[in-house]
Amino acid sequence: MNTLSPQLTLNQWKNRYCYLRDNGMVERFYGGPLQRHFDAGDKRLGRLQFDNSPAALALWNLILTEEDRLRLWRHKGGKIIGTMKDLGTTPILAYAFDNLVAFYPDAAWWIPCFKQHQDGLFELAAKNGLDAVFCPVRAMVGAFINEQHFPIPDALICAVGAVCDDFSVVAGRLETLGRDIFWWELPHARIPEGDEPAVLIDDKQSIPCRQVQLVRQELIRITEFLEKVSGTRLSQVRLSKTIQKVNCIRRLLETLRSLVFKSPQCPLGALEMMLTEMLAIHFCSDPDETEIVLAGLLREVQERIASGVGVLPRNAVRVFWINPPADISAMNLLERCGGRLCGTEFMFPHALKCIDETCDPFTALAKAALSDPMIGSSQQRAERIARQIETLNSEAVVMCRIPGASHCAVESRIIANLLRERMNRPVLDIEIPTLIDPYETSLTTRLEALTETVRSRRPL
Amino acid sequence: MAKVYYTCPYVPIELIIASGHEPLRPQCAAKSLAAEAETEGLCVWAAGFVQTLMQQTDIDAAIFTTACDQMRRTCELYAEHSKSPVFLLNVPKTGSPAAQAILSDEYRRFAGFLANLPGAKFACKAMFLKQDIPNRGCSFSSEKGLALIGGPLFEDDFKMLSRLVAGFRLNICFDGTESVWPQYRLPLSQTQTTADLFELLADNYLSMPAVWKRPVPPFWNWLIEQIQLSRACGVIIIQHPFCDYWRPAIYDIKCRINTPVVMIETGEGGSLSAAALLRLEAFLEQCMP
Repeated sequence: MNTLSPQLTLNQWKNRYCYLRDNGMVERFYGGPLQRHFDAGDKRLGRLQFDNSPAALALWNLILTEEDRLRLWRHKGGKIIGTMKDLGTTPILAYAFDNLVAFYPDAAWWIPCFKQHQDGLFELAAKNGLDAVFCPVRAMVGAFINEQHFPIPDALICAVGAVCDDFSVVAGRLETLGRDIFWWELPHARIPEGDEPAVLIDDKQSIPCRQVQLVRQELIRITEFLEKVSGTRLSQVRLSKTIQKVNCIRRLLETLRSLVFKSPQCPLGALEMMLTEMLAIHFCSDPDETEIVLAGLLREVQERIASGVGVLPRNAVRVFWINPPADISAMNLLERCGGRLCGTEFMFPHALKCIDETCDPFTALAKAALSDPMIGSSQQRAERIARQIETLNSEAVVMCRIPGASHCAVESRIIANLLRERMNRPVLDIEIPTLIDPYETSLTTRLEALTETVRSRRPL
Repeated sequence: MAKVYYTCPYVPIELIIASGHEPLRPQCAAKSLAAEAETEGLCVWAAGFVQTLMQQTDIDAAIFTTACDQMRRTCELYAEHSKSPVFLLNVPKTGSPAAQAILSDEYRRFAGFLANLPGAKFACKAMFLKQDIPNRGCSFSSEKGLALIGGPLFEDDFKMLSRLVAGFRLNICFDGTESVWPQYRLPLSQTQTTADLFELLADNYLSMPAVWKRPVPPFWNWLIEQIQLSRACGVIIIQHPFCDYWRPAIYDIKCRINTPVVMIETGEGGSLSAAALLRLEAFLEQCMP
């Protein structure tokens, strides 16, 4: 017998929280009711449907308390490193120092969504030359100006090279506003030529060894910079242990993704799955707590699968989602339209893969950095996605464009065309704005058309 | 001798010439953009370059670079349909030792590519010959002049703009648009002691100003200095839709100089629209002697 575990509104979570507390739920130090985040300004929560488990509550609390935890870290004498753009590699170097934590100010792109535009960050960015032509990551500039969100980092490190133009310009604006940035070169990852020495970065793709050497050189330069900020030397042993810890987290995440995406009935909603993946890039400023939260979610999912409990009907359409949506509520919308998440590529699959523990740590991290799909060709990215779609047996694809993002215009075309030609699956190319509310009707129509198309193709 | 088409100022024309080929930097015209071209979200300059390439019948190779995201990805679109070889040159954005090594590696790789084109014959001496660097005839004169900066300007737009400016008894006294950046590069000198030719070339090209370089301040410092040296009485910024690098230029310029500034946005088809030209005329009226 299969049963549905209902998703809850924020209001419904109030009673659920009291019930769980009364029945002995134990929370971590950052625990508490979801309502407090709404009261503190995260108004978007009022529009969402949440998973009803204590494990999901812990996930939300971990994410929504990050700024407070960073302040606490600083209060205890620790230093904060703002890592930017590479999504997954430089934080590992920072965590190899006892007194450093890392976070991505890039994540400020979701602040206007969470605050439902009450934060004024886009307006601040516009006053500083960054208007709506830029992707929502421009909110980061506003957050650095008004200093009302994350604590201002003690040091900033930003990857530049084959990164998107929006980000390069937005980060550059921080520099002209007086913030020092340590720039490092992350080149376009090219395909090896002829008999050029190369290393495999996944089962099908390889990169030239020379590029690995050069990025390794850059990572050593970053380490030297971090040593100055930290005031301590990096221990290679500590770096290796940090990589082991990271791999432990990534393995947990991989198991969770595999169970959720492959299970006949969806055991965890799209919104929570997306946020879970986001933990991979910098562990929400706390690798230990990330591990605990992921382990809790994994237990919940395993129990649900074992007892035949899911969050969506069994016939939900299995959708592969490409790029993170600027409005998190788009994940709920997908489910309301009859879809479920069965595969994702949120621009950082390189942060989900285990790091090679058999070679020297800097080389391993260089290989990880060069696996970033955003620095390679769109064709390669599309081929990697196609392989995942095949493996996960996803029935449809949503190509989610980010408003204003320089890479989307060409890349989306290349990826969507390749998938349409090769996969014989419907591909929906949509743009998700920071708040979908005014466009919800048209987005609903398009997503419903997608799921109906899939259902009509299913054998009777 | 192969005809090698390029547009980015980081493509080393010395190397193309020394390899026995002819470097061709097409004078893209806004008019070349086909009406049916899908340019939604796409930089019109990148689209214009691709369309110009597609209209050539004598093309032996096309060179794109990673200088901007749009051009990097447009290369893929072009390569899908191109019958002639395409080369994507990796242009670093910093001045770090690794960046320098990346660029010299890339120039070495580029030399290998050029060697495989028909008629290739490498002559090292040709690397050091004075190159004819595109200069669109801006002048430092006693007349009141304007500085022109921004994304690469379509040639037909440049001609129209020059005529318009002249009509107000003004001239272009400083052209800092991307199209003419190579003229601000230091000449390649055989007396330099670097043993490796490609390292020498990389050093030289990295000395060229570029809006995408990081850290940011050196480029703007250089640009402001050039504008001030030219004694321009006004600054025109050319902005192509969907070009992120030049979009905030008006803010950067206005923050730092008192000279009047106007930003003129090209239309989605590449040309300066009637509205943009009207705006420019109003600006020129204020600047005219």
